[in-house]
Amino acid sequence: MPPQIPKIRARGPFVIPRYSSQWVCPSCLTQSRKLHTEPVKTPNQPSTSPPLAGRSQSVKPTTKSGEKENKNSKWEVTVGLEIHAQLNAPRKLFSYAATSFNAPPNSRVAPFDASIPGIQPKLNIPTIVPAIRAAVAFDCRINRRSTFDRKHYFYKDQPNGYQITQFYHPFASDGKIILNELDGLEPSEVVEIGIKQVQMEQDTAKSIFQPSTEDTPARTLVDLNRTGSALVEIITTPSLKSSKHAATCLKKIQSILKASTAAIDGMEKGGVRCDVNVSIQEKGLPGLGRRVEIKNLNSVKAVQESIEAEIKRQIAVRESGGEIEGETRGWDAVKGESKKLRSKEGEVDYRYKPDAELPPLIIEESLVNHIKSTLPPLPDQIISELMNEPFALTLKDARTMVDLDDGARVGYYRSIYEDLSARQDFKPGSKHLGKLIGNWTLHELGGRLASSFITWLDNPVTTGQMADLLFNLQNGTLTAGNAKRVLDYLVTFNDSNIRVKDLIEEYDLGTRSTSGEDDEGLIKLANHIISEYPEKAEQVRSGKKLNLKNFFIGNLMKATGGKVDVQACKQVIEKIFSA
Amino acid sequence: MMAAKPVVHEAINYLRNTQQRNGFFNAFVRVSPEREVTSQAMAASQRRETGKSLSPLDGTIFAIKDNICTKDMVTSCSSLMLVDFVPDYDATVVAKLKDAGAIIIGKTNMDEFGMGSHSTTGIHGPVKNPNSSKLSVYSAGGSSGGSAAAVAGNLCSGALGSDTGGSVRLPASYCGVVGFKPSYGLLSRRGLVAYANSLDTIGIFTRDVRYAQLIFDCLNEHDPTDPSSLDGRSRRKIKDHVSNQSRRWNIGVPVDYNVTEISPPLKKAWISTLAILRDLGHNVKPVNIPSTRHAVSSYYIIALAEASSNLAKYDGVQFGSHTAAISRPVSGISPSLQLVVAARERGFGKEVRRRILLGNYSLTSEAMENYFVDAQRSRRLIKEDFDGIFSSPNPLGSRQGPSLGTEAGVDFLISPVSISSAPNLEEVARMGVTGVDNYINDVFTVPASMAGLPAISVPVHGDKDLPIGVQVTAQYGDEKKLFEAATLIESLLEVDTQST
Repeated sequence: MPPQIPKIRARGPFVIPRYSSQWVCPSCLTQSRKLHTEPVKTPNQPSTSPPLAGRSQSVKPTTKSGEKENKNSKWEVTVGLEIHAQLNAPRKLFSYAATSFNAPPNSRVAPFDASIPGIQPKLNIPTIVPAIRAAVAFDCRINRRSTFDRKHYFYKDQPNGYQITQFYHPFASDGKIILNELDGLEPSEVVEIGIKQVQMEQDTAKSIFQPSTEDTPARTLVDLNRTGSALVEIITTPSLKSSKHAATCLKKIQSILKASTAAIDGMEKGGVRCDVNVSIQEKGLPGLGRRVEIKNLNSVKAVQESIEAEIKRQIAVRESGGEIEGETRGWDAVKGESKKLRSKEGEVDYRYKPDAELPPLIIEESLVNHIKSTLPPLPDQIISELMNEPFALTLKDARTMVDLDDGARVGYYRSIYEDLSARQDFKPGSKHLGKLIGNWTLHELGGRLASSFITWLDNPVTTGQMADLLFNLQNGTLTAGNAKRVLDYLVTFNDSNIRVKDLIEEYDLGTRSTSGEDDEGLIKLANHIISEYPEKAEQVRSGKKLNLKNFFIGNLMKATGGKVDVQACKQVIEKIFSA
Repeated sequence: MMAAKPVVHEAINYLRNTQQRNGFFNAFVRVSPEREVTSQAMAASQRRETGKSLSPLDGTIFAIKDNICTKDMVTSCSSLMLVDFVPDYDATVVAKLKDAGAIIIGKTNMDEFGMGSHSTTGIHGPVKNPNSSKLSVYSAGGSSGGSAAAVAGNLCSGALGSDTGGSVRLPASYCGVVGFKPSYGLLSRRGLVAYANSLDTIGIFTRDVRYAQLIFDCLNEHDPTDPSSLDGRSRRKIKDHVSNQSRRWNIGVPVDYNVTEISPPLKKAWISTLAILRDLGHNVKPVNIPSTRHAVSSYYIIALAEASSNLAKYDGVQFGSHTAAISRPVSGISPSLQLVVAARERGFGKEVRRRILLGNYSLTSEAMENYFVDAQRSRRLIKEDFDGIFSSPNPLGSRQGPSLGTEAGVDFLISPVSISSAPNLEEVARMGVTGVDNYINDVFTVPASMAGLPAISVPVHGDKDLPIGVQVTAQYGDEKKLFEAATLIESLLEVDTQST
C-alpha cells in the first residue's frame, strides 16, 4: 500500500481548462505527428537488436507446442506487463524543449533537462492530452486529481538523479483490454486483461558507448535529447496466462496506442519498451509464485521468447526441488537466454517521494468527455467494420490492412471505395466491389510494392488512379491481365499525373469488343492457330487429350495481345472443336 | 568630481570597506571587478540627475548569497561540487534587482548548500561576525552568514539570502541587522539552488525595516517559471484578505517557545520588548502552538529528505569531478556507481553528506511511513495550529470557516529568533562534534518555515556588545502587518538607545 501523503500545500493546482481547440484538437496532434514520422533510424540503435516484430507478424508456431506443454503441466503461469510508450507530444513533459528523434546530439535540451541548478520543472499541459487518449482507449478511469513523485536512482542517463513519475496517485487506473479472435486467438477464446494504472513519467537520456580509439580511451557519451520527453507507463494486472497471450496483449496495446494517436513510434523505433513479470504456481494452490522481472525488452519476439525461456527455467528450478528467487533479469536476444542482473536484496530502493514543487494535476471531466467523443476508431472496431458489408473482407485481410503501416491502407482502401461508388456510370460488374478493392489494394498493389522494395509511405499510385483502373476493369474495358499491366506501369513510373485512360489509349490496351463465339475475326484467328498445330488439334479432336484445348485458348489470347476476354477465347475454341 | 555624487560615493565606500574588512569577515567569496561597480554607479548617478532613475533601488549596492544564480559569475553554494559552476542566467530575483538598477558587488559566503547554522561548513572557511572583537570571534549565524555580515559590516546596502528553516533570521539576529523571510511562494525561487524546495525562500537583509520592504516590493511578483510561485489569482486573494491596520494590536506570545535553553539576556530582551508594547496600549496574550514541539524533528526529516533528492543531481557526471580516483572501493555496486560514490564523497563536505544520508534513510521503503509521512502529518498540524491563533484566516487555507476574528485571535506573534546571542566560533567548533546540539537553535525559526509564514528578525537590545533579534511572525500573506509591527519594534530600539 502506498502511504497516504497528506496534502501540505495550499497552492493552486494545474487545472486543465475546458476543451479549447488550440491544444486538444487535430492541429496540435497533426503537428506532433509530423515531428514523429520522420522516416529515420536511431543512430545508436544497437545493431544486435532483433528484427522488428509488428502486430502483423504471426505468432510463432513454437508456442503451440509450448501451450500444450503448459496445459499438461502442473504449473500455472502468470505474466504481467509494464509498457513504456513515448507520447505523441511536440514538447517535453516539464520543459519547453522540442521532442526529437534524429536531431543532432544535445540539441533539444532545455536547462531543466540538463539538471541546471536553480531551474525548476514546468508541466507542459498539452502533453497530457495524448496520455488521456491512451487511457481512455484502455477503458481506464481518469482520476480527476493526480500527483507527481520522484523515483531516485543514480545512472548516467538520469541527470537529475531522479525521474518524475506518478507512483502514488496516477492519472488513470482500472482499465482493461480484450483479446479475442481478431487478435489471432482461437475463435472461442476471449481474454480480458486488466490495466492496473497508466501514469505519466519522464524519459531518460541515451548513453552511447564509444570503444577506445588511438586518441581517446573508451567512454560513454550522453545525449540529453530524449531526457524528459513524456512517457506513459501502462501496467497490466498479473493476469496473462501464457507467453502467447503476453505477446498478443503487447501487440494489441501497441496498436491501440497508435490508433488513438497517443504514441506514434512502435517498438521497432524504440518508442515502446516493455518489462515483464513472470511467476509460476502449482495448479490449485492459491496466490501467485514469487515473481521474476525481465527488463528492457524491445520487441514482441523478445517478450514472447524471454517469457517462454523464463517459464522453462522456473519449472526446472521448482521441479528439481529449488525455490524461485525474486530477482531482476536481462534478456540476451542473440543467445536467446536471460541472465540475472540483481536479486531482490540487491534491489534499488527508489525512495519514492512526492515532488514538493509540482502542484497536483487536475483533469476536468469535460476534457475527458471531449476526448472520448473524438477518439479515433480503435483497431477492433475498424476490423469489424471491414469484415461487414459493404466491404466484406476476410478477417485475415481486414487485420492485415489495419496492422500494416499504422493502418494507412484502410484510408486508401476506403477512398477508392467511396470514389467508385460515387461514380454515376460505374458498373458494379460480377465481382464483389469491397472484396475486389481489397484484393487489388493488399495483394496486387501490395505485392508489387513489396517486390520493388517501395514502402507504403512512398506508394506512387494514387487512390484516383487505382479507382480508374478498377473502373475500367469492372466495365470490361481492361482485362484482368491488362489491368495488371497498367498497375505495373503506374508503380514503375511513379507519376500521379498519369491518367489510366491515357495509358489504355496510348498502349491500345482496351478490350477488343467481341461478339463472343460468333466473332468472325476471332474465329479466323483461331482457325489459323489451330492449323499451325495439326498434331495437337488432332489429339483434341480424337478426344485423347482434351485439355490441350487450353493450349489453344492461351495461344489465341496471346495472339490478340490480351485484349480479348478469356471467356470469348474459350467459347470460340470450344465452338471450332465441337463443329 | 566623482566623489561629489552620492551614488558613486556610496559605491566607492562599500568597495573600500570590502577591501579593508572582508579579509577578516570572510563575508564575500567573490567580489565584482571594481571598475564594473563604479561605472554602473556612475550610470545610475547620471540617471538620477536627469530624473530617469529606474527605481528607488537604482544605484544601490547589493550582495547575493552564493546559492543564488548570477549570470557569468560562479555560484558555488560554498561546495567543492559547484566550484566551477557558472550559471548562464540570473536568478529571477537577481534579474529583478538589476532591472531596478541595483549593482551586484559580490557573492557571499554560506554553509555548504545552506546546511548549517553558523556559516562554517562551506569550502571558503567560516564567516566572522562584524561585532567580533580582537579577543573573541563570534559566529555570524547561518546559513546566510556572509550576507548578514556584509550588511552589518557596511560592505553593501542590502543583501539577498535564503531561508529554509531560519537561515536568514538567525544570522540577522546574530549580526544585528534586519532579516526578512517572506511567505512561501511570493518571491521566485528560480535560480535559487534547491536545498529543501518546499521550505526554501529567498530572504532579504537590510539595516532598516523600510528598506527591506522596498526591496520586497521590488521582487514580489508572480514568476511563471517557478511552479511554486503564487499566480495572480492567489495574490489577489491575499490582497482581499489583508486586514486593515488597527490601532490596538493583539500580540501573541507563544508559550511553547519558552524553552529552558533560552539564555537569560535573550529572555530579558523578549520580555522587555513585550512590556514596552503593552505599555503602548497593545494587548499581549499568551497563545498555545502545541505542535511546535515536534516542529524541529519534523522539519529535519522533511528538509533532509528533500535535500537528498535535490542534491542527487551532483553525481560526478555533470557536476563534480568524474575522474576522481576511487579511494575506498565499495563492494557489490557497479563500476559506474563506484564513480558516483567517489565523486560525492569528494565533492560534498561532512555535514552535507550526513544530511543526505539521513534524508535518504527517511525515504527508504522501511522508514517512509514512520518518518517522512509522519513528518508531513505533523507539518499539516503546525499549519492548522497557526491558522487557529491568527485573527485573520489563511487566505489560501483549506479551512474556509469563520476565523477567530479580531477579539479572540492575534495579529502576529513575537518571539526570540535564537536561544542566545551569537556564540563564540570556538564554542561552535566544539558543538560541531556532537552535531545535534546545533539543531536546538532552530526551535524558534522552524515553525514559520514549516507553515510557510512570513517572519522577520528585528535587532533589539544588545547582550553586552552583541546584538539580539526579536522575531515577528504573521499570518500567511500578511506582510503588510508584519512590516508595521517590525517598524514599531525598530523604533523602540531607537528610543531605547537614545535613553541609555
